Amino acid sequence: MRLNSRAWIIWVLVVSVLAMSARNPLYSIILLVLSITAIQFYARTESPIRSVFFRIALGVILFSAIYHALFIHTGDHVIFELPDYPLIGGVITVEAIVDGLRNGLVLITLIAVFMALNSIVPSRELVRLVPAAFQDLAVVVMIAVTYVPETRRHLRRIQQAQAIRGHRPHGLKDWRPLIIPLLVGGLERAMKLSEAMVARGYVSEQSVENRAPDKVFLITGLLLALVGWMAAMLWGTIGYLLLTLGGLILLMLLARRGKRTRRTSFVAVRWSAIDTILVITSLAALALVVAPWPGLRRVALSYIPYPALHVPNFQPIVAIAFVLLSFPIFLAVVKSSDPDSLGKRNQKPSTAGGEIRQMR
Amino acid sequence: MIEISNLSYSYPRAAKPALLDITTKIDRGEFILLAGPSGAGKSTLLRSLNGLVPHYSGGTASGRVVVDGIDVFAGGPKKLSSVVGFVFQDPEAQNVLDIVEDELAFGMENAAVPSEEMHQRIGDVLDVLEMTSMRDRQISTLSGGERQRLAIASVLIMKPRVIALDEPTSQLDPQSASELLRYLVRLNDEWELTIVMVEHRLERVARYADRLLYLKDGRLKVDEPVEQGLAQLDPEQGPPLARLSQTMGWDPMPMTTREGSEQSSLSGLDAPNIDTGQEGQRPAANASLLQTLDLHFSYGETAILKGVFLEIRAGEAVALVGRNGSGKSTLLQCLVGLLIPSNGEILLDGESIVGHEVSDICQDIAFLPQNPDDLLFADSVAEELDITLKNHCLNPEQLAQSPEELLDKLDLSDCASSYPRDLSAGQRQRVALGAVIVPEPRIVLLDEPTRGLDYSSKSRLMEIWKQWREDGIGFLLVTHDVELVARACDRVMVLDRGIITADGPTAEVLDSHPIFRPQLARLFPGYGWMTVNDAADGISQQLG
Repeated sequence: MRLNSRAWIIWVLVVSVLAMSARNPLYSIILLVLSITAIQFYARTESPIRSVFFRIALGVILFSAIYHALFIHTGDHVIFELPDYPLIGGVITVEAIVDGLRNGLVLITLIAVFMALNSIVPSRELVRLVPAAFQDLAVVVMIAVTYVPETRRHLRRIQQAQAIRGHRPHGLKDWRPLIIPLLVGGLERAMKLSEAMVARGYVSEQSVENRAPDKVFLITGLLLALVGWMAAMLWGTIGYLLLTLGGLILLMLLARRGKRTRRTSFVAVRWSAIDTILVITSLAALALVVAPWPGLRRVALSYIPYPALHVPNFQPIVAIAFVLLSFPIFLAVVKSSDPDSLGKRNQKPSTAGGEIRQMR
Repeated sequence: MIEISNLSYSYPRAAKPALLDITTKIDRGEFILLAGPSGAGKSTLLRSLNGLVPHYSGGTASGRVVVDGIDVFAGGPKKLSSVVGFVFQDPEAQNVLDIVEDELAFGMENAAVPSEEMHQRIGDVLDVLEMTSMRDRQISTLSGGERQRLAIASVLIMKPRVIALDEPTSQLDPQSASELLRYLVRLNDEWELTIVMVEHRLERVARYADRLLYLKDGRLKVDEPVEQGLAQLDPEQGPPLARLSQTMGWDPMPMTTREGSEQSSLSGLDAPNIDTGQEGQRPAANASLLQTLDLHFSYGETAILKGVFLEIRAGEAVALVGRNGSGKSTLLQCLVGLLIPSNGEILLDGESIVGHEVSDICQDIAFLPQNPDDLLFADSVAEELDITLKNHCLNPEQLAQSPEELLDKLDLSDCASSYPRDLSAGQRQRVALGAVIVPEPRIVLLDEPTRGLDYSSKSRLMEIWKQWREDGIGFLLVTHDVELVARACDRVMVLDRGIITADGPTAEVLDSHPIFRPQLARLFPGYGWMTVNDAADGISQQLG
């Protein structure tokens, strides 16, 4: 069984919206654990989470803590006081450090969510989601999505090559031997890939004769939307109507241009009932946290350690949201008793050992 | 099928044109070999067949290219993508997606092929290229040969009339390369597919092709059937057989092993002496520099090296050959400490170096990895050498030969102040070699040092190595280029699935392994002739 990519994308979007809006460390930790477990169960490649992720995570959190400690000088629990240096002078407080840790945690959670997207959803499915009208954009998305794992392998090769030359990285300036080949090589690779895509017919095809009406639609749609947006602030309903009208015109334009681009899609991954459940649970989780429920204290979604440190609170309504979001994990646990049920692609061990090395 | 008339082309901001006044005509079902030294315009001409030149590359083109009735300059790559299939040199750079079947569907989606037909075509093409079992595989788990076959499959699936290939065998071992070529020949026969292939190693492709187009400095110098074409080449630029034929004055030139045997029997050769008496050629047993004892290495569960014993002596050049994925590169990485063997010993001058710092080991053992671009980052060639010295905390005064002398030996004095990445492939290879060899190591390990180099760049490299060997430096060469092995190495080791299965004098080992036989050894099996000189001497001796 394999979950539909579109359903996954909605899950990832909801998790990232929650990660950004519910900035309470307890919530962040839960979301982080959810993302990592999702990767472990559903990733298409084997063991995608490496120790390097945890090292980066630690680095980000520490950096954020130090940064906050040095630049934010409020809070009741003073550890010590720095002399009056410009910018960083002042009291160093426990609250600022905690705030920094919390911020770092939010960042890490976001990184983990997008790692989940990258390792669960094949890049081609992402490109297929780009409306046909934006083929050029799709090319950019494609290059961006394949860039990260490819760059990681490339960096490793360069590190080895520089070690051979006796390179021992110490300070910041010692990174030059790694960064320059990485950037130049990365650009060269991107050029090669895009050339290959062009050679295989992946080229934007805009017929010149039909462009004029498009422009009229585009300008009208944008103008209506802009005027509507401003009017909505002044007069309410009329503005929203205008905004909707503008939006509809833009959508029509999209469809019109999309129709002109002739493409078909291979293997339409069939949408199953489970995908519907995944979408419903994800959206419900979002609604629970975002909508103005009487029982929900919006302020308490976030956590502000100032002026004095306190234990972050935990609201039951948010807990329900997390339970809903962990639906794919439950599913995986239930199905894991039945082998071959998860969506991992057939991965035969390669007899070509040397090739494995190149892929790392 | 293809008509090129008065084609000239310049890249944007280029000082001189890449192609000059090219006119030729290619018929349906022809197999064209497009050759020439580096920078001669081969890839450019190939790209003008599907409109990448000038539509993708920019620049100015004049003249006319018509492919299957479509004017390329007017039509552009999108229109031609269904007529001309393009296979690039580096299979890794052309996979857009990560699963075999998705990758195959990618082009068809862009061409709006209906879904059911896609399934049909994917099945067919996998069948033709004998890849059906790989349908669901992740592309990153395929071997080099399989990847290149996938690249070909993903263009064939578009049902092109012409297939253009840019050095498709440069990363493949001899066996994978000849398998790939045989698939192409079959498609050429059965589908009447027109093939245009750029290739440096003429000895690999010449016997399959119908016609040779030879470019030099952007001009078409030779446009003849392969036999006549090869005969017209400058001896240094031709494959060994062409050079031998020119030396011996054979006309017509034999193209296949069978024709060659007929030719040689006509010339009155004796039957080969099976006992070739190679023992006399064994190199003198110099002091052993580098030794490994029962070396093991695995990635996770997969054992890559399963007990490797090897020895390199001073002044000796040893070749390590083997199929793609046999563990050659892993072995090199273990030798310089980039990978730590799970078991076994590596001895330098009798002392273990396992677990030493890579940067310390590399003062004694220089290692040139496959891609020289990973090494180069400085603003000038001279600076690249200085940086290595600084890394090792060495002063130029401490060295027997100054970096300037080294640059001179490497034939790079003229470009000492150039930006390394602007240089040609052959020059970059030599800069990278300079950057690893400047601390004056005693052993040099080279991983595929001649990939993508033309004949003259190769000869230049071999001259440099020869000088260094006279200074007592030991060489270990990992390569698929058997002609290079035949010319430059004393001893050959064969690595097969992590074990050294043969180790002996070059002629003996290459002759006893059919897939690693150089062209002349295939032509005169059993004589022990590996290079043009061997064969020419041998034949003239026999004929008195």
